[in-house]
Amino acid sequence: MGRRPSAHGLRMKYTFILRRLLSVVPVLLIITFATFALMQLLPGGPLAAYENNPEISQKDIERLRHEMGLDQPIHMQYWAWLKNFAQGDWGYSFTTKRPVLVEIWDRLPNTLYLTGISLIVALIIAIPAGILSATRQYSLFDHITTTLAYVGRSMPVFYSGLLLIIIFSIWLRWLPSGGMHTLGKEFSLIDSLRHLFLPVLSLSTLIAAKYVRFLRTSMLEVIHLDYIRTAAAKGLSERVIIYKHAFRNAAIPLVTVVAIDLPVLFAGALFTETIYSWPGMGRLFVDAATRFDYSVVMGIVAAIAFLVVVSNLLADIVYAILDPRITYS
Amino acid sequence: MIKKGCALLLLFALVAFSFNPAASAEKTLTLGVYQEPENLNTYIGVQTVITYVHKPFAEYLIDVNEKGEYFPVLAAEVPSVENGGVSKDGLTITYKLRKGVKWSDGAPFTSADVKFTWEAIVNPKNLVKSKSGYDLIQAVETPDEHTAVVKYKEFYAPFLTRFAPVLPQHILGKLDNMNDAPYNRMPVGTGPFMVSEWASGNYIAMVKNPHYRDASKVKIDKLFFKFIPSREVGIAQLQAGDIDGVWDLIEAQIPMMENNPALALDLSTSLTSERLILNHSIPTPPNNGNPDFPHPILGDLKVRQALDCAIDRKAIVDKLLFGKAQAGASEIAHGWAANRDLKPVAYDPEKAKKLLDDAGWKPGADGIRQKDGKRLRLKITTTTGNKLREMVQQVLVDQMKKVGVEFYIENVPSSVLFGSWANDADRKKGRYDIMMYTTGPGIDPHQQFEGYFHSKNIPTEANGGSGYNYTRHRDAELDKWIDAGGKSISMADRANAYRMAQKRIYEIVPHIYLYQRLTVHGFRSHVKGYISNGNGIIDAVETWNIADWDIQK
Amino acid sequence: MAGGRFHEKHKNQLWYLTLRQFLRHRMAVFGMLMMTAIVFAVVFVDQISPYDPETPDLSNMLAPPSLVHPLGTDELGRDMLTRSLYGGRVSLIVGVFAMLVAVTLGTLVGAVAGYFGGVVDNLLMRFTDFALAFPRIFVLILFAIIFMRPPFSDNPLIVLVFDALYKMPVARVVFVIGILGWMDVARLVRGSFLEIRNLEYVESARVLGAGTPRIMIRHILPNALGPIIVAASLGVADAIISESGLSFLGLGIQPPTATWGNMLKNALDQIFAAPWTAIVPGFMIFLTVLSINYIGDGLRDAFDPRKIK
Repeated sequence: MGRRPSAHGLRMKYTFILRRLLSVVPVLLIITFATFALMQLLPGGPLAAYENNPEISQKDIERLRHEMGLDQPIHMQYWAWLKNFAQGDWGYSFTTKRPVLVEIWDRLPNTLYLTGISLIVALIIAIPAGILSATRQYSLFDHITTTLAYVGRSMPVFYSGLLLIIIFSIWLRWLPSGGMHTLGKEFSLIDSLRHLFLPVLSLSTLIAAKYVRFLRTSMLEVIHLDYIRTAAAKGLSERVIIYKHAFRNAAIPLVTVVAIDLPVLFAGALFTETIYSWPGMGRLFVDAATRFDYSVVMGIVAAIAFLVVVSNLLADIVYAILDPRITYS
Repeated sequence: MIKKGCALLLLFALVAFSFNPAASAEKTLTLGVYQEPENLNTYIGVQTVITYVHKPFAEYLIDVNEKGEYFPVLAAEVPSVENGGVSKDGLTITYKLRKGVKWSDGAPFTSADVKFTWEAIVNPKNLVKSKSGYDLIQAVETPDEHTAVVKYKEFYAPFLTRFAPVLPQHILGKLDNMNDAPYNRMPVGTGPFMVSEWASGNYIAMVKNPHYRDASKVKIDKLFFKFIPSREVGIAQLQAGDIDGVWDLIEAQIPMMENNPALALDLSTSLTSERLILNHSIPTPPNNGNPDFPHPILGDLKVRQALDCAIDRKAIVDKLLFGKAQAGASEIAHGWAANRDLKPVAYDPEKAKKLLDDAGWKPGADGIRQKDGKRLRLKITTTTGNKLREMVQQVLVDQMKKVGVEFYIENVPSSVLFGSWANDADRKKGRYDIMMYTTGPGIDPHQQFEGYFHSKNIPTEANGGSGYNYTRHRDAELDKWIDAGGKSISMADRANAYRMAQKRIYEIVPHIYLYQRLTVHGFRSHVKGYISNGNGIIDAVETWNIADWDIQK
Repeated sequence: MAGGRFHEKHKNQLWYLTLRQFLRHRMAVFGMLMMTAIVFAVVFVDQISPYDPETPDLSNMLAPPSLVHPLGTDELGRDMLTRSLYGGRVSLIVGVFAMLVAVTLGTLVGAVAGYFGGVVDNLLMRFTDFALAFPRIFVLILFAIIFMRPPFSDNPLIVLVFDALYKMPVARVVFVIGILGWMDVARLVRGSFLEIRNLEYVESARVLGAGTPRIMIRHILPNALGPIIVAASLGVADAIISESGLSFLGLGIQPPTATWGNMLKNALDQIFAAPWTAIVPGFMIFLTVLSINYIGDGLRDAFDPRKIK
């Protein structure tokens, strides 16, 4: 740290950021097409729900197929979809008949709220635990932390979520077992936090376990580096060494790890939302997939791809700004 | 930093664990549903949950009560030949409408709404799921505000089940089509409640309809339909007291609720039955599904009868359904067209063995029967993810083994099992041995009998795969009774025809009835006033009399 | 590791050092013992247990743990212990085979990218990075649904693949998890190949006229084995969790074939009446994954050249 990049280095940096930005476009195109092609292979199709109903004749089904444009060639369906997509028209859900963007927009904030708070809580747990664990390597605290991190890593989130519901909602009756707030009551912060507690607990322990492990390892590496030892030899206090030098250096790669582990967070959210009936995007995806609601599934995949690409991009840029050692090839 | 983190966590925990805010004086009822409705327009949406959620605001001309009897709702009386509501030829139906009914926005309900409902359904711009019956209507005449005269081109036996519900002309009549109409999510109805909010993925909220004709009678102030991910979560939330009722549980969940005094169970026998559907035609290409090529095993009536009496229905009902369900005997379990002479086939493994011996299937070295070197091995298929069906299947495998028949299980997702002809679904194309699923007649059984049992409804290339005669049986006598049921105007004659049809099905065994499905609803004990109803015009749903419900703590 | 001869001579010693390092890792040894016990029980369950895993016993449904049934019985009266061990067979088989598919694919991609470098490397790694960045469960669900159907095409190859996967649920789950799990391995293998391909002994093999595939397989791969083994062991844990996750949503292997995942799903609606039916398979998943994670981390430390002293 500390060495200022040269003007040439700065230019390289901007070119790097610009190139990363541009690389997003083909990636998104490929994803949308791949998803669309895959969705065509799905069984049943959007009219499957009508097939078992003696009230509905085959003629009705053919009529609906035509009216919904499902009898057009696949590439035409994709092209139509893509053109509209670029204009912000993400199509209509086959089942709810509402615009896909509206469906997602209804749910996305809830997922971001849940994952965002879980991420913050995970960091609040993981950072001190990781630092303490590394600085007091082989202490009782270190052993407990590492063991818990292993347990957190090895426990499927749907199992831990289930156990938490049994313990806190059924046996102890302390916390609600699902939803975002109590229905029919005025909004209150306390009520909202009570509903948040278990989902956040499940989700944050899942990722905190990963962060603790990572932070501990990278702290240990940094602590053994020469300049830390030098700093120690110069007589700086342990606190200063740990927070000013060791942690700051270990925290930079943590940015990348948080970005890389975003998929874990989203996957965890899918199960957490399912277990705690949290009205987020993960549940919408499971519902839409089982109903073969093509346009909603497409929209969610595109939205998540977008989120992932952007967050990786941001992580890269933040990393590039923070760390002078990176090369831009 | 560490301390700060701990303090924050502690604060979070403290706040989260603090007590519930005090309950308000309003009576709020929250019902859990494990599916979010597509919309609230039953003419467009296909899910049963829509019926459940729409009952509090939507009303029909005629509805059906817990005894299976029709009663007038928006009509002033049930039209019949006797009261002059039905013409002698059955083609003209005159509905006298209830007076003083208002939509929840204050507009009056009139015969124009009835006429509009028909127009909306037959309007080609509307993506309506089914037009049956309505496409036979020639005209709806409105001589005055309180009379609607429906003229059919040809006799339509289930005419009483039409106009359920009636759509508001003053809201939808202005639109080019109703496919994306705001009505589908924020409907206007004549029922005791009206939708006030729909929070996607979360809940639908309803409040009392101030214009309801008996508004003072309605005791619940606010009604929530909360979307929960599954029945299991619903039970967890019900036990935790987060919701007051859960919609549509399954039989297997009865015992865990029975032992809890805070909960009450509401059971009713539905018209649908869990059954085995036996393929009469060869399941293998190239002649799969062609009734001219009989199934090598199931084509023989003796084998079908043997399977029928090798099933211990009592064990299944007692053990897997906790003795709450009825063993299945015929297509119509109760109501005006049921054949009560038919009793469930008795469990008789010895008779089954004898029938199989007679059919030429002799026990092989491993106990499984053989004939001409071919094993008596049959695939049984049902939908994946239905635990009770999976349990019943495994018990059937065991029971069949005892008479020397080998069943093997291969399940597929419901969308695959119930796929279309165009999607090359095994059911439509006849590529299966035995399927297990639930179906049953509506309050008027005609469509079910004609669709599933008439020989003209075998799905083929020629008819585009329409029809539900998946077993591909052809029986002239059965066809005759079904046709008779659809043609007569006298309810007594119709009832007789369907009874004879049931008897014939009992003899030729295209379907093996296992048990009548129960509709199971769970409530917290403080919910009062609900009445089990196994009948319904569209679907049998618990909310049919929600105007009478109450909460008494 | 300077020259070829040095490399050959010290190979055995290296493996020995690695083993010694592994055995120093106490938790890894614990994991190894646990896994041995689990595998032993799962393989020999038909010898150990007097019960059949599938025949229902309707007089004994949902019996709590007792001397006769140490972990109770399930909803059809079948012994939970026996059934969870039979279920373990399928879960472990899915785990191992999905890992094999993933490792094979990953090694192939990584080796090609690392050995050839340049544009090939760039393209493959861009794809890998993206695949890694995407929440896998969404694609897993998509694939699981796609292959849950009979063939719907006239192309004989598609019909063949789809038909096989449709008819064999275990193969389907293995395939779906496998083809979505190769990215980590590809990255690791690429790294090793990049590092090793320019080493002196590889150069000399090239000068001596060895062909590209031979160099890749005989000379480089063995030295990249360490990270592959580590990734493979962790891959098994990953695959087991994926299988149970899919089954939890009802999209995995279907009953009557028991797996830990579908047993857990099955237990959901009787979790209050018979909590053991959920706790047992869930705990089996947890224990297995925990053991494998310990083993994997032990292996990682053992293969880390900086730690071999």
